[in-house]
Amino acid sequence: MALLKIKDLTVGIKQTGEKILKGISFSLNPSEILGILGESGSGKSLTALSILKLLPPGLSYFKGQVLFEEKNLLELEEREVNKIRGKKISIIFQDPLSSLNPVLTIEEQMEEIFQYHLGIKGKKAKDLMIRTLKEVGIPDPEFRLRNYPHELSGGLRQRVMIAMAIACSPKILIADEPTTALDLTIQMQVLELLKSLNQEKGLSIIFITHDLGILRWFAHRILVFYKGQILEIAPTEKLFKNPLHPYTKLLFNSYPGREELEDLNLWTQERLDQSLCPFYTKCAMACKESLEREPKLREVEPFHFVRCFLYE
Amino acid sequence: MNEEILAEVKGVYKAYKVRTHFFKKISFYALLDVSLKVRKGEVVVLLGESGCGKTTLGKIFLDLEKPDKGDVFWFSYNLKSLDKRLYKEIRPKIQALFQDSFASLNPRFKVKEILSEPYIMNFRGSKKEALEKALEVLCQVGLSEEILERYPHQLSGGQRQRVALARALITQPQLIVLDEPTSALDMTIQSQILTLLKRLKEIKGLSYLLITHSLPTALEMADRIVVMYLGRILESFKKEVFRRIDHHPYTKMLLRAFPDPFSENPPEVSTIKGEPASLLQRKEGCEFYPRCPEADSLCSKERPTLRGNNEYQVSCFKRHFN
Repeated sequence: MALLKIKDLTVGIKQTGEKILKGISFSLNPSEILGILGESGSGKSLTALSILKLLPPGLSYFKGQVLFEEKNLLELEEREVNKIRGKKISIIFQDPLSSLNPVLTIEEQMEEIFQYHLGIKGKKAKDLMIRTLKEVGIPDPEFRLRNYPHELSGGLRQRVMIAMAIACSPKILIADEPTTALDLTIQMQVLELLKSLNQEKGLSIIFITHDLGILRWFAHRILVFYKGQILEIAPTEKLFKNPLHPYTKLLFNSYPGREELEDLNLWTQERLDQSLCPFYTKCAMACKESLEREPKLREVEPFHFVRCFLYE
Repeated sequence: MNEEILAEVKGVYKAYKVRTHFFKKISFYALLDVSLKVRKGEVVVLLGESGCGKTTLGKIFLDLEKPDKGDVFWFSYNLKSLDKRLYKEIRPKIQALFQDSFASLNPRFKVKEILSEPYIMNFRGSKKEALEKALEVLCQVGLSEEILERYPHQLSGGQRQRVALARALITQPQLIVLDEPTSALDMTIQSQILTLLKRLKEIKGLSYLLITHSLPTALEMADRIVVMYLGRILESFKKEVFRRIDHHPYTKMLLRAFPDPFSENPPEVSTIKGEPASLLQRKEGCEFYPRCPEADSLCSKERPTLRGNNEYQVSCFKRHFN
């Protein structure tokens, strides 16, 4: 049984009707680390935000469902969503400094969470805080509680963010590029922490990144995003051994030391006719059909889905 | 040795001051006794994590920062004793390309102005000549003529980085300092820029000092890799010997922890110990000592110096040469 199910999620600009996410459908299994791979502007962060009903102003839901615990989050009232957000599904972002409140100590910001979601205050809350901070590997937690965010190093800040996100033992953690701003060694330590939370507590994680190396060794299953669509879904090992979509292949080949890319006109941002294959202008194997209609996401091998005419 | 040395720093120290308290300022060393040469036709990569001083060293090579101690040489002229006229003549031969192309291009200039200004300044050329030149370098970086009339904000990130590169090329440099030239770009575009840089190097016989934190980029581009940590060079080696040498413990840690998507071996995270120390509280002994798995009592007392041969130099008591 899937923990979270997203069905035909379509998000766009309210005024013009232009679609930014087009028919995103996937599910998250219990205790799974699901990786979302994509370049900037591919809609991976927007997907994360739209799961939690945190759309930026000007955008709205056109279609689709986000099913969690037999409820469609998109139809819930704001008051009810607030009970889920941060408690059952929490999110961490790339830049911990801008997600932490600079004028509150760590203790003050963490207390808010316990008070709001669990109704715990004072000494009891503080004990819980210390326990959570220990859990995420922060040395000397009593001392750190009195610190302000700017007094912590980047790695510690991200750990505090994770501690706040898992404070209420959520079922799902959405991590939007949580380690991109960190140095390699710190990055790997934070990933190791997330991995151990996944293994020991069964926390399901949606992990968004553009870093191939991290996804390879961290995610169980990967979604490849491009221009607001999912082009390929596959278990990690399968995807890296045998990428099927031309875009995924191109992405893998652009890794330094793999292959020299010719100057494709990849950066052009021409607006495409929205009902065609999103990749056809840049595709090395573009076929006739892609000028006529849109390919569908199809299961070509067990658990391996591709949106491409080559495999129809 | 008759290799031509384009730029060199010798025994450079650089300190910055920070205010830690309203009344208190303390200074810390961003660079500690650093020496480095860039030879003609060579790509030297400065590899290191944030705060290791790689950008500061790049700025000192560019003469954008003056060292507190030590000397900088351009084409074997010491910058301290170089007279103004000569300085002006050789200045354009050393150029820079930075990470944030948006910040390094004037938003009120069209691309044609961005490109022709340095040409007119440095070669006293006419506007027409400059425009011809601009078109030529634009071609070399893989952009077309219509870009000339655009403003930076009308270009994509990859295009802007190409324009910044074209601007560096128009003064016919011999050395370009590339400070994280691709980290702000998408992967497919990163790869194109790196390919372009390699091709330009071959065609024009350029040298690069490439500053990066990305291991695959370093291995892809480098002739020589210089690993920095907390303001010091820990290791410097030629790429040919990369697989053969017994690396510095820090480099070893990085290599083991690096998640390589196309290798069979998962990254080893358990070998990582702690976080880099603060530059503000520099202690005696080796910079890497608190995190080093091989450290002993000597490492906590004395600071090792860079030793070795032309192919491989390392700053560690535990590495020996015969």
